[in-house]
Amino acid sequence: MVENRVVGKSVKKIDAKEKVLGTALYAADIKKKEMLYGKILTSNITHGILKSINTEKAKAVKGVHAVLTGEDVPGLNSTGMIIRDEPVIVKKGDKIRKIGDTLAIIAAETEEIAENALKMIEVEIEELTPVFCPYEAMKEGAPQVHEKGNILSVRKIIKGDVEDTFSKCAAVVEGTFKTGIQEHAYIEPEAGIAEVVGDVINVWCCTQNPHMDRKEIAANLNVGLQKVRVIQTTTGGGFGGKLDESVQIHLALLAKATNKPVKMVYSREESIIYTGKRHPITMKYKTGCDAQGMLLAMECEIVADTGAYASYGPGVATRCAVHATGPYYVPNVKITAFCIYTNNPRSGAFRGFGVPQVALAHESQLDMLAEKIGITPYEIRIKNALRPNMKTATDQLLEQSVGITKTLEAAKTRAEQLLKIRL
Amino acid sequence: MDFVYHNPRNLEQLFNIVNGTGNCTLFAGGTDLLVKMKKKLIEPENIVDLKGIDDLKGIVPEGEFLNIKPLVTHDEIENSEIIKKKAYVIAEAAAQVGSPQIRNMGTVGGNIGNASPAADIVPALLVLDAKVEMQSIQGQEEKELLSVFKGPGQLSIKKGQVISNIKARVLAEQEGAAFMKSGQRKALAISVINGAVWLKVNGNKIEDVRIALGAVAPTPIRLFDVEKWLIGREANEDVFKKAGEMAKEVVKPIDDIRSSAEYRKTVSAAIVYNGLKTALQRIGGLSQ
Amino acid sequence: MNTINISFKLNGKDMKMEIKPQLLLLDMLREELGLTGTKNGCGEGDCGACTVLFDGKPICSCLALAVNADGHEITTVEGLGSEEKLDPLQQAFIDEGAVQCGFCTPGMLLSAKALLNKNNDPSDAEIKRAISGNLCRCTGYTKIVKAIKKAAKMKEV
Repeated sequence: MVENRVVGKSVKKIDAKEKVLGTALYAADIKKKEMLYGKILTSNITHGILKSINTEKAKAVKGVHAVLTGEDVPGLNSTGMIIRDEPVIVKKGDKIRKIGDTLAIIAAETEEIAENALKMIEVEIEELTPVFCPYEAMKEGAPQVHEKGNILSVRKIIKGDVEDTFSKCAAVVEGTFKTGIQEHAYIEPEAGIAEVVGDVINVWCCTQNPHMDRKEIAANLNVGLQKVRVIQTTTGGGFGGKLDESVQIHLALLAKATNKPVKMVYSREESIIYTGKRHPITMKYKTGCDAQGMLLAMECEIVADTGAYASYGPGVATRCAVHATGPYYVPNVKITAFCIYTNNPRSGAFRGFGVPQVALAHESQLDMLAEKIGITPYEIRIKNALRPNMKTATDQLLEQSVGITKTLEAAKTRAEQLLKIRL
Repeated sequence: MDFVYHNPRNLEQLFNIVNGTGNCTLFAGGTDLLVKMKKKLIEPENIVDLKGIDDLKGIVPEGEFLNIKPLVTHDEIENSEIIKKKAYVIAEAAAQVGSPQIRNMGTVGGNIGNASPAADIVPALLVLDAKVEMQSIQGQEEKELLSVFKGPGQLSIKKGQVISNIKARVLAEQEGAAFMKSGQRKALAISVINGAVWLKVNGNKIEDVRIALGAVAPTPIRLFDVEKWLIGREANEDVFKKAGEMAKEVVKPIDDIRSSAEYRKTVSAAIVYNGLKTALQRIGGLSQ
Repeated sequence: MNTINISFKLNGKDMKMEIKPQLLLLDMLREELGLTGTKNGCGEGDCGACTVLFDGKPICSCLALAVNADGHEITTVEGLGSEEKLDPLQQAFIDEGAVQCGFCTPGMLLSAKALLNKNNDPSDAEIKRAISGNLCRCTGYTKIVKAIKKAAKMKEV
């Protein structure tokens, strides 16, 4: 048998040496001859229509090589990981849906020239009433963020009969739980550099998703996939936030337009304004158990605010539904998860994909039930914990190991040591 | 950033620049200034770098005062043997400013000159009865530290004047002091509220006391009413607790991004109570 | 545009530069000298990715003007060790798994270096305080503290 060199062994990180020496190249570290710097003009309103945009004065600034608007995007002018609903550059006459939507992009000889030229762009925007609350957005007559309506997706999981079961429960608790929006704040702000060599566009960038980047660049530049190369540079953290497009398509457009290498490095502020977040989610829960604390039924309505664009929103909302019951066996469930458009910042993938949010709700519900029937928080969890050969809310049979009981036992031991109590 | 850079080597050169050049912005540690400049909140025409002036550096004892020159960094204060011995409350405050990097750059003069209501060094200096010396081409002027703050970011200082020295009264026998801070996290936090206490006892009676709080008003403040009430009373838990309750009533903080007014009031009481208790413990008056 | 001549020591070598007074120390290192090991994370002194040693003490190079290097000594991550001869801290960071995305690593190493230069047997609390101005967003602090502790006990690698 060949000896396994990795599994079960402590392995040294392959690029650790370059990283401790400071020689690992992150996108912002790359320099090319005759390189230009890219900057973005973004909207500072949440909802409106771009009535007009005049870039003549900016184009005339010495050192400016290109100013591109929505008209200059040769391809789809649309990007998105699950559905394409986000403009690469908002076109004249089209909608602005959040602060930070791109209105124009510039390539200039220095960052300073680019910044000054941005101020010369004249923009006329007709403001529309925005909607920030997902519940408001679901109502009839609410401002429509997208033409197809504000309800982006609905996922339901129904098993057994919750209504009937609740009436037979020894204890039923209800609660509404909310989590806030959250920025990834990876320590490396987004950066990249693009260069056209022959008829191939090369984009070096920090990313978690080079294949998707390539597809999105090709679609928006209206070129074949074989004409786009995306090279992931050493990436300073992503946590899901670098799965979406940031500098990639803009850089490819600018490099193509100027025929020079173009570099773009977000400031921390730009990174926070332009990029995705963790979904803020509201969860209404009702949970019932028998006199011994065995869970019998759970009903929940989950509303995820995905902001102005879908990003991974439908996926996140689906995961919320799938994991709504947590690592516990619940025979009767009625779960509905909505993903809703608003004019808030776009939310997308972020460590855990909706699962950390629902944990707040199901764990609180278990505590409430334990208190009501007079058992400890540990007891109610260990009693209901999923074990091999049991089924989840979606009827998935867990055939292999399930870690929750071991985790609970270890946590109990540690808590008893630290707090010097018996749980 | 676009500015003319001036690098005076002594006070005379400094005054020549300040008086002979248009709008001048003084540059000490730069930890606040550079942030404001990068964000274009301010766009100075002239930057006058003070770091080449040796007269603005150093810590020098003088009778019952310590002269702390404005370019002394938080790190220097934190590690100064004489401050740790004779004015430890300032070292305690300096140690809680920003991060090691910020403490190595930021200066005491800058902490005052910036006139932030949340400056950490200021309450500690206030309870040591600090004076500020302002120098200009016309000469020198000494002011009570408390009187130089006009509002957030606003200093009562005449054109052409620079802070040339900060005088803090050293701690004597039967005197104790403490600095306390509450921030959103342990490092790199701007104070939600901070405060310092200085206490002088005679037997178990409070002979004199000074209490200062930051981030509860547009400027750092002294709690004169609470101090007056405390003088002559017995130094004990109950009295300190009552003083904390009084502090809660006299401060008028605001709601802002870092905290609510209500929270600040509650913590004011805790800072005054714990500050008095700690100061007394340091005199040796209250067993731990 | 006016320029200023400065001379300083960079990673042990004497340097002379002619620079614009507006230039940030971080930009001089990264853009003029090509020392890109020093990173820009926030640009306002909160994250510590731009940490360099100034006369042996950690500072934020994003908030310092390059002219202030005149007459002083600057150490960047490039001055810590080399491919052939790593600094004990660099070796310990590799061995202990204290490197994840690596963007905070140069600044983290320099803050640790400043600590070990004055304290060769630091406690966990002293280490945590010394790196309190360096954010690791991958949240690998435990391993970083362990690595610094290990390096303190290591002789030259």
